[in-house]
Amino acid sequence: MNDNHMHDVLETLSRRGVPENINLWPDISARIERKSSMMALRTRPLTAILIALLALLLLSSAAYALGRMFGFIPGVGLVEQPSSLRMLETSASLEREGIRLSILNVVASPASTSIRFQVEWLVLPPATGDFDTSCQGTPSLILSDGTPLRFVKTADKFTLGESGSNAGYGYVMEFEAIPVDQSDATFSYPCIHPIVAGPLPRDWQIPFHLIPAPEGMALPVNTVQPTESIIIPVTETTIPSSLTLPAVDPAQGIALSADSFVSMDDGYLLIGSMHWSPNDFPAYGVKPIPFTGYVTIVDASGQDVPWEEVYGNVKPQNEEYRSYWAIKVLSISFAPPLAISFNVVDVQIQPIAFQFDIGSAPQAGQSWELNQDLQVAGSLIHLEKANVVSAEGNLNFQLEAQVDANTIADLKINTPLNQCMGGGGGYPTEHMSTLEIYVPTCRPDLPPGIVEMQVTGAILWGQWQTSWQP
Amino acid sequence: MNEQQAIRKLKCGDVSGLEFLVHQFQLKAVRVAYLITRDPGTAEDVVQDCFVRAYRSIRSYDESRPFEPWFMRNVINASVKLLQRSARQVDWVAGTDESHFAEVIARVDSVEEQIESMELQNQIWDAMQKLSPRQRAVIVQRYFLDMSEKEMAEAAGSALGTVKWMLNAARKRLRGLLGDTGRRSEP
Repeated sequence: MNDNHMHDVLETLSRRGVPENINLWPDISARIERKSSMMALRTRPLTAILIALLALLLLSSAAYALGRMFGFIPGVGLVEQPSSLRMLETSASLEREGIRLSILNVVASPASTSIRFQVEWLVLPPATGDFDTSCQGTPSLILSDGTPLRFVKTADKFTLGESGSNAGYGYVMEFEAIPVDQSDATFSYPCIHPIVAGPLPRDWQIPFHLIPAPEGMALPVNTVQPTESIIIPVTETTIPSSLTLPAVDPAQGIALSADSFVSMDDGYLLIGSMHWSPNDFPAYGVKPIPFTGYVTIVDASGQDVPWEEVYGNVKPQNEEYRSYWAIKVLSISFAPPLAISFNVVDVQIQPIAFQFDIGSAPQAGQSWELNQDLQVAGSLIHLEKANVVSAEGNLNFQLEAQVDANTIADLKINTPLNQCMGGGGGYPTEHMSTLEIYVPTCRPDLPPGIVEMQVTGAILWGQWQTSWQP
Repeated sequence: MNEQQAIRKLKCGDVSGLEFLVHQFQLKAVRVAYLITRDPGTAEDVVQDCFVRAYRSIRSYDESRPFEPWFMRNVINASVKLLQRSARQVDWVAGTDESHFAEVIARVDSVEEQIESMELQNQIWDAMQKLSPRQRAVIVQRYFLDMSEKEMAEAAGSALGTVKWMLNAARKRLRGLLGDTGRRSEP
C-alpha cells in the first residue's frame, strides 16, 4: 500500500474544505481576553446603614437587571430594548462568475450591526490549478456618505449543502453600529474563501436598506424567580499582618444564581450570576468559570445533563458585586429541576503586599527563603521560597507556596518589575497543596535589593450551587 | 520564537506565546478536525476550543514534550467526542465495519493517475462519511498525520493490537483488490 497516495488524497480533501488563509487568532484571543469588570472595593469598614443599603442593592440588582427589556436573537446574542432594532428590508444577492454572495439578514442595534451572509458556488469549477490565497482584505460596512464601519468579530459561521460538497459557506459578522438616522449601507466583502481551486472574483459590494424590526423578532428572555441566597457574614479581614483569623470557606461568601433563560429548539440558554457583598467577601471582582470541567449539571433523576460553553454577546454587563455567566443546556428532556454546580471561581482581591531581598547581583538559579504567611481570600497561605528562573534571556520569579489544597487552586502574584505585555492565564486541573507561581518580569536582568510583590488574585476551589427549572 | 519558547512565554503569562502556537498549528489542526467532522465551521470551533483549553491547562503541560502531537491528539479526541455526543453522526451507517476502511484505502490505488479528479475525491469523501468518527480518526492519524501504530494506540488509549487489527484488515482488503487488478503499489 502506498501511504503517500492516501496522504495526498486526504491533503487534497482537507484543502478543499479548509483554505490556507484561515486565522483563528482573533476569535481565540477574544475568548481568552474576556475580562470581568473590575469592581470598586469598599476599603473601609461599612456602617450598619451601608450594609443595609448594600444588602438591598444585592437583593434588588438581579430584579433590576432582569426587569430591563431584553431579547435574544440566535446568532446575534442578547439585545437590550428589542423595540429599537432594525433589520434588512429584503435579502440581497450578487452573482459573479458562478458564485453568489447573499445577505440573508441584518440586525442593527444602537450598539452594533450584525450581518448574516453566505457565499455559494452555483457551478463547481474543475479542481485544477492552485487555490487563490493571495487576496487580502477585511469585510466592512460602508455608509452612504462613504464612512466605513469596522469589522468587530465573527459571531457564527456555517456551511452550505452536504458536508464536503463545497456548495458554500456563510458567516454572521458583527460590525460597528449604523447610526440610527441612516438606513442605507453597503456590505463590502473583498475576498471569497478559496474552498475550491482556481481564481475567484474579488471586491464584492452589496447595498442594503434597513427597516424597523417587527415585534417578536427577538426571542423572549424569561426571568427566573430569585431563590433565597444564603450569605454568611464573616468578620472583616484585615490583611496581611493578622495571621490569627480563622479560615473562612470563601464559597460561603459568594452566591450562585440562575437569573434568566431563553427557550430554544434544542435546549436552553441559561444566564446566571455570581454575587457577593464586600462585607461577606472582600474582593474587587469575582469571575465565574463556566468552562468544561468546572461546571456540572445534574437533573432531578441524578443524570448528568449535557451543556456547552457559550460565547459572544449573551450576557448582561457585569454590575457592582455581580458577575454574569452563560451556558447552553443541550437538552429539553430532563427531569427538572437542574442542580448547577460551579467548582472554581477566579477572584481579584485587594492587593496583599510582601517583599524580600534578592541581594546585590541576582542571577538565574538563585533562591531565597521567604517564610511568610498571608491571608488570601480567607485562607492562610505560606510563602516558602522565591526562585529566579531564566526564560528566553529574561529573568522571572517562580514562587513556591503551601496552601489549603481544598480552597486555593492558584494564586496571582505580580511585581512592579514586570515589563511583560499582556496577561497570562490558565486554570487548574488538580488540587495541590504546593503551588508554583510564575511571576514574570520580561527583564534580562533584575535590579538588586528589595523586590516588592503583591498577591492580586486567586483561583478558588469550592462548591457554588443553585437550582433551576424552565 | 520556537515552540518551546512559546510555551514558556505562555506559562509566564505572555499571551503572545499562544498566538505563536495558533499561527503555527491552526491550519493543520483545522484540516485534521475537518477530515473527521466533515464540516469546516465545526472544525474551526473544535480547534478553537482546543487552543483555549490548552491555554487554560498550560500550567500543567510538560514543556519538554513536543506540542504538536499532544495538541493534535486533543483535536482528534475532541472531534470524535463531538460527533459521538451530537446528532451530527446521523449519517454514520450503523454496522459500518473495517471493510469501509479498507474500501477507502483500496480506492487510493487509482489515485495515482487521477489525484486531481474531483469526482474521485468526492467518492473517497463519500466513503469516509460511511466510517464512524473513530474510524475516520484512525485514517487521519495514520495517513494524514503519518503517525505510527504505536503512536496511534497511545493517542487513542487503545491496545496496539486493536490499531494493528484495523490497519491489517484494510491492507488485507487492499491486497485482495490489487490482486484482482494485477496491480501492485505496496512496497
